[in-house]
Amino acid sequence: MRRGSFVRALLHRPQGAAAVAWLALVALAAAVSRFWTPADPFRTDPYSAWLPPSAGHLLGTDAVGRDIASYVMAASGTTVLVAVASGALALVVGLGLAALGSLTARAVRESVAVLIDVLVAFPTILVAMALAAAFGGSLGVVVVAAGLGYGVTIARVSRSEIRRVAREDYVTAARASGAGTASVLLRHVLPNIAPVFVVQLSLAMATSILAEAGLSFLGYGASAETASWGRLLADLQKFLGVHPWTIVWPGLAITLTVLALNLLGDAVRDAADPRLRGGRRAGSTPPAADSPAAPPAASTTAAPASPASPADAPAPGVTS
Amino acid sequence: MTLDVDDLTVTIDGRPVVDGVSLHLADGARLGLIGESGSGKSMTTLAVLGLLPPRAVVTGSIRLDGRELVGLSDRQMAPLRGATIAAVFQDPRTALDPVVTIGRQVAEPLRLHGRISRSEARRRAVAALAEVGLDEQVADAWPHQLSGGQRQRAVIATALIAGPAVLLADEPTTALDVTTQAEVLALFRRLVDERGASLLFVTHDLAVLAQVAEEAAVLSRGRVVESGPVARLLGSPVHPVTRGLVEATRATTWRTP
Amino acid sequence: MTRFLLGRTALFALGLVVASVLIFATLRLLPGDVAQSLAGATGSPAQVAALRTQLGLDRPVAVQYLDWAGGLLRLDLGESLVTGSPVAGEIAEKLGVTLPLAGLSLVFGLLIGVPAGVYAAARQRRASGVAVGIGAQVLAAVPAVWLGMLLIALFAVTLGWLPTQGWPLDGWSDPGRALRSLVLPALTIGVIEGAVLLRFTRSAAIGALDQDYVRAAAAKGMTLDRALLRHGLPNVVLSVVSVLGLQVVGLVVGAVVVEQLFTLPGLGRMLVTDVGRRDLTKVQGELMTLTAIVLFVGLVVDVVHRRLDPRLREVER
Repeated sequence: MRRGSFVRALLHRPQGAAAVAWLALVALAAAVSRFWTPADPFRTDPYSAWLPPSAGHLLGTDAVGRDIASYVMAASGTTVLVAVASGALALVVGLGLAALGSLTARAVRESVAVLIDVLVAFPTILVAMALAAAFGGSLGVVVVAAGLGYGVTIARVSRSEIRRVAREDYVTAARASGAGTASVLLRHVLPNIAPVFVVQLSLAMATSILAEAGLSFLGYGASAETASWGRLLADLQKFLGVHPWTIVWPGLAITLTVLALNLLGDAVRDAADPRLRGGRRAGSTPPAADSPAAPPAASTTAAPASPASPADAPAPGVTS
Repeated sequence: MTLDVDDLTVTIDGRPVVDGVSLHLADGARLGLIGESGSGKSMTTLAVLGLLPPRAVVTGSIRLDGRELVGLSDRQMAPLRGATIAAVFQDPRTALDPVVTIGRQVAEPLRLHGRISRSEARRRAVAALAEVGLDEQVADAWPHQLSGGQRQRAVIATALIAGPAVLLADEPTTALDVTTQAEVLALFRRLVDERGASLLFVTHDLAVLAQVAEEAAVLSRGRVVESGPVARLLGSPVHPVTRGLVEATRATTWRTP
Repeated sequence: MTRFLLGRTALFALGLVVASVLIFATLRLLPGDVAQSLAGATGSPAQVAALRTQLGLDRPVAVQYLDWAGGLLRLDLGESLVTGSPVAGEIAEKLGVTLPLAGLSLVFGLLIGVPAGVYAAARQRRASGVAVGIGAQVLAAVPAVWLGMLLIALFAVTLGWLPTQGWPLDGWSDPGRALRSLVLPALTIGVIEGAVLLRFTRSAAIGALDQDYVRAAAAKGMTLDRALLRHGLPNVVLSVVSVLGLQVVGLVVGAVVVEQLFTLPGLGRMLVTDVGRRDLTKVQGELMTLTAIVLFVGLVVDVVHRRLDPRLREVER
């Protein structure tokens, strides 16, 4: 699959382009915020509390006079950090488990399979709570919980993908011509399962952002010194009775970012599918493919981890 | 009832899958529609039924005894389906709803088109099943409990139970093994003759067609490339596609012991 | 069916065991000493040692685990490290709020998600169907906390129709009041779960529309819409049931955050508090309860799904 045509296919659809644009904006804001924000995000000024949006405060101020725009911008850094870290952890855990579950002796494979099916059922937030009880709340807890939680899902998806590709003829041909396992893995298996992983990665990141928002709200995520969209929601909650609509800003930031990641996942999946390259019907939302919402494979209700599976958005979206 | 198709064009995603097709099915006649896969023959039958995929665009004319069918809404087409125009589709495994018993599915056209009691419906379903050579027990069975041939017979029973004037059969025997094929084809001929219905039989196999229809039209890439009596098509095919189909027939018949 | 039931129950039991081990292990990874942190800075070494013995923390880890696990089988979850009161009793009490919340959320989720999903599938080419699909996608990206706050801002603060938060002091004795307190929380979880269910139902319904038997049914004399409802729907329902188990996870999980937001005295909120207080025994019990509920619902859903599908029922014979 040529890189250029893939990227073009990705950006061809409005959803894909919009998603990439928003994510680029968030990444940019996160990077810039390390050096500069319109005002100090943590500077409190009780006399400037609850100011409406103005030139000096693009999004207004909150209960203690903090500039919301600066805070939201600084918090984007936290979001990017959590998302990337969780995504990376999820991939590592997922691939590791999948490798254990595919390339080892039969006994190990079977036990890993059962283990994965059992672990899939555990909700991320409970894992986070357990970790928070042991180690105290922190962003690290969020990353580990989200990474482990989604990692298991990735493991399930990977195993079936690896099994599928391993049966393809070109793999047999490669082995027949003398290629070793590692070389087969690298040159044939990985490139063909790569799109699935990109999709899973974006979903993992989306889940982690929602998890961070929820956990920070509960007080077990970002600490008070770290800017976080979830924490801002928690801070604003107390004043819902008198200033109900300031919550729009951090909430919108979270929603748009998660949405962008989900849409990106959709777009990657569509762009990678050669059958769909030739112009999709405009306006149709494709039946979602890879998702964490697949039931335990041990039951007969096992949905195949590819196309027939349901909803795109992570079921643990309610962890937020 | 006569079925007239005039310059029918079906476009999907900009591509014409049926391109200016014209057919005439006389009252009580048996017309074959033959071509390779992708030739547009299934799309033609779906167009007649008004069951094309939502993104298809249809132009041209389809007239049933003079009544124009193109442009009718789903709600207007529904009363015609089953009672006036009925269909038998290719795959007996998927044409039946897996979670409904055979009896109820066979009786469904009756219940859809008139007020009929459940017991009366069952009685007639059993009778219809008997006509296609299936026992009364089959009425209480689930689709997955029957063999492919039995399922296809049940599907035929369903199609004929409401006494339609026009029957569309889209590759009804393709998914069956050769022996069952012959039986089901014979069944088709007999039932259609007995009722005097008009039959449009779609297939890719000229040998099968020869056993059922007298006239046929050959489709290739959405266009009718040749048409006429089946005997002539078999004996002296003109168009390369037709010749190819005849060759394929010879190869198959030679192979069957 | 029996073989399946046995196998599935075994899996459930295995899940419980794995969960208990994981929960216990994680909480014991605590850097530092439970007894020490409980005794605080003022405790003398002797006091700390006594506390340790009293709590049974000087025994080997495996023994402690077996002791706790044994208690689980008797439904004895120990006593709170902070208050000393029996954990099981408190959990049972809080379940009186959390379970109805989860149930109501599920009802909302199904009522919102399934019909909308079928509608979106039946109108997939038209603007109305596409709009519904887009709406669902957006909703699924919304954090529950924010949605809850928006609902409070709208229905409680601005319109004043429902309470902003809280739970009647007399609990369920006035069911009307209690339910009113549950509406917004349940709606919060329900809308998000509904969005997820919608996308899934839509997918399944589109698949059903493509099925030969739906087209064959329409060929018998009904409109495609009706064919979808009559023949496609039962099969869509089957698919939905199969995913329901995991949706319930979202419900239980959402309850944690939502109970906090709406200050409902439920299990989730108690968990959050106990984590903060490092009341490990209670946290163990709460986590175990929530996990057990999730696993149990998964079991029930699988069994129901199997019962409903005549194809799967046959396989046993």
